[in-house]
Amino acid sequence: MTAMSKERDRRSQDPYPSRLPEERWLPRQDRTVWSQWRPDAL
Amino acid sequence: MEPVAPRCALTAQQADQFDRDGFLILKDIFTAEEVEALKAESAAMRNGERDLMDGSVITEPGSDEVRTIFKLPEQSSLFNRLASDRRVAGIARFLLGDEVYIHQSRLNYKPGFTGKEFYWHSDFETWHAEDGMPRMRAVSASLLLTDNDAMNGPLMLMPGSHKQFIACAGETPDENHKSSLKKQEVGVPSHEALGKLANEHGITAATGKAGTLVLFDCNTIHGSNGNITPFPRSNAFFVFNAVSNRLEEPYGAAKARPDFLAERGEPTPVEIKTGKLA
Repeated sequence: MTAMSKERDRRSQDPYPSRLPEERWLPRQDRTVWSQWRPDAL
Repeated sequence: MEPVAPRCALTAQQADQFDRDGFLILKDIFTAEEVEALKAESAAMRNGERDLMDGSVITEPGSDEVRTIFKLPEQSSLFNRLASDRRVAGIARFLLGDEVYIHQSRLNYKPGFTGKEFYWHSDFETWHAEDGMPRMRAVSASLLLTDNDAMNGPLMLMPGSHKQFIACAGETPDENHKSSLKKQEVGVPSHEALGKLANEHGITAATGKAGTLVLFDCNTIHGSNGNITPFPRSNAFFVFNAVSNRLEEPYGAAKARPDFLAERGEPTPVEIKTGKLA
């Protein structure tokens, strides 16, 4: 796979594509709080 | 048996609030002495009493008044200590569930009478498109260095807006950061989208006394009005990114932004420190 096709592949799998011709609303695909709360959580 | 004092940097309720709203405002977590020391250091940096790195200072549009100084930890031992404090970096580490490093840091100063607005935006949109930040796993920490009230252009946030991503229209111009740092025109949602978000979620002003810490998710829509009061507004701002979320090539720009805006290369995890700042 060439560097250019790798890059195309990376961008095609991007969950948050932006700077395209039209505005789009996309769902968030990541957590907001990544730790499970517990009293002794660091 | 004596109850064990919680070690977590946030309460369960605060963690839930951050998850729901996409931000958190923490008051009275620094002592008056610590806040005074940070304010004095901020003034010294702005007034030319410190040697600052070339390219790290941005001025107000149409004037030489300092608007932003980047790379705070590299230019000030006190701000370096602040950036690694458990009350700041410790919270970021908890929220992001990973070791953290500083993606960007800056001292923001909005002068009285002439301080310009920052238009509504999601930081992640820019960091993803122009810096190559892969996922939404970064958090901003803004420590107020002046009292912020409804009048002097405080940070405004749309609670809950972090739950969706507004993919913005328009190609990224070359060297976009040179103009976007003064006035952002690309990478901002449309009026229609902002109206819908504001109607759905409302707008909250992050007001508080100097020393208040505002933490917000990388995708929370935020902005601020200009400042025509005589009272300046200032804050120290640190962006923490999860070490596992290090930058790649930009997703929506031909070339990555400079190092002072986005730390690239091998991330150096912040070593969390406890105790007084100064």
